[in-house]
Amino acid sequence: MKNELIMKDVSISFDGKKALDQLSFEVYENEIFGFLGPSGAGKTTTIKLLTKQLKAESGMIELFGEDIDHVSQDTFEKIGILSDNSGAYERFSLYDNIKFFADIRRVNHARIDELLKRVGLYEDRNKKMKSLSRGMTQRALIVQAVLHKPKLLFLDEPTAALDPSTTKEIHQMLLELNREGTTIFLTTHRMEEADQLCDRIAFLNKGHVIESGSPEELKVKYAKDKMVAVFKENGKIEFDKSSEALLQLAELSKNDELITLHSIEPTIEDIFLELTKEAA
Amino acid sequence: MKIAGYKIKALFIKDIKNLFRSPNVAFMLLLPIGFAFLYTHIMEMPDEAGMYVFNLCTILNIGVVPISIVAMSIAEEKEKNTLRTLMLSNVSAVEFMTAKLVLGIVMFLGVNVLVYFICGVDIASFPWIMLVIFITSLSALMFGAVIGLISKDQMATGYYSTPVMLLFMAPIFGMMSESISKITQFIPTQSMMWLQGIESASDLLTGKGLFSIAVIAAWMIISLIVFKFVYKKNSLDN
Repeated sequence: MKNELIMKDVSISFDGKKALDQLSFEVYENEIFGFLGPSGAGKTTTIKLLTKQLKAESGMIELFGEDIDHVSQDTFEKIGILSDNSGAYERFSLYDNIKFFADIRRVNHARIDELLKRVGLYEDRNKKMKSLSRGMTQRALIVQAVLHKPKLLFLDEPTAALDPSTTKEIHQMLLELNREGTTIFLTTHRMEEADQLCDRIAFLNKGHVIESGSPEELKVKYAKDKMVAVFKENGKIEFDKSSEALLQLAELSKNDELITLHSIEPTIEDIFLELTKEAA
Repeated sequence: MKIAGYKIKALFIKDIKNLFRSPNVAFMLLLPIGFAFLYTHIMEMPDEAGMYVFNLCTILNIGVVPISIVAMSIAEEKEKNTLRTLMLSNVSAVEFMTAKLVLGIVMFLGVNVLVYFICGVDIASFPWIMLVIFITSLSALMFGAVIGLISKDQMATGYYSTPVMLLFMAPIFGMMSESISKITQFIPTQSMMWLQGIESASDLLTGKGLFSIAVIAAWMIISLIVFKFVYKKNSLDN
């Protein structure tokens, strides 16, 4: 699988305190990669390093197979970014603001209408940017970031200010972009979002990756060796996977209706909390 | 380094639209025009005072447009994170600054042309006077860009631009005092006024002519060096 970006042993400090410590990971072409961690873990710093807003003290970063220090300015034609410090022109209308970025990117104006409808902002296109709510502004900035169908999209907490129905719509849009060939690097502290969207995830804690893999792999890896059965009369009962427990389960089933039986899989949040507790 | 003309055009149009939607900027642009009108049409001034009023308003215009408005325009983009968004949208620093400087030049010259006609200066001198003013304004534009880069927001541009404005406006006081003019002869706006008044091309080759050209050129070089240094220092977050 081709690497879209690589970070190897990257470190950076601020005011003498290490923000990232020998951080290493890879993102493959056409995948949605989730970068999870609590606030202050270094997610935004990582995106800033990957987009040349910061310079690492040590380590290696590659973007599209090239050392980041040598990538040409044209590389940014293939990149889209949404971060907490993305800006818009407040005195412009929503439509004029997006139109300006479409002109910068040489994108057909018909795409603006298409995207505004997708994020539910078409009716508000003539409103001034400064009059939009936080959620509406976030959606507008997402449109700005994906206008040119980037090859690589960096999203820093893209649905942080959004309600569940808009979040779902944004997720659909991102999945569609991914199917069309966009690699997505997504940071979030919403574990369920990563679980729904991402092909692979990495947990960031105290400046380095403590675990990574696909959500399914991680759930299997950290699954408890137990099952839970739900009976009509006796309710929920946990069993281990031993032969004695299975006999006990069979015995109970004779006298009571078994409704469901499944293994106990942890959520991504459970895994993260367990790993960060161990790391502490 | 690639420079895309279509990006500069889009940036320039955006800047014009954005600035004219700001009441502060509209007021600032009207200041030199308002003063020119006030002095020439409302107050009782002798006919030959046209050039004097024109110089006063031109110097005011240099303080307002290239220094203050360009600085505010850049600082606003930093404050609202649109500069960062532009850089990450593959707009190069050269494209961004070119659009800002072109904006400054167009607005500055536009105001100055209006002031020229309001003051009733001899139309035959128009090409030469506007050329001298344009060249002099370039260093002011660079300093305005520097102020925009070092200011963290629009309000901060006031702290930094005021001393620079006063410096460029000092020749106004030089007009009233011989001893002050000995100091202000090293300021480009003083040289600008002298060059505007020459009567033939041979005057440029006189001691005073060459000195005035050297002062304007030196300020341009210094402003470019300062700009390059400040830009490099402020281009990254760390």
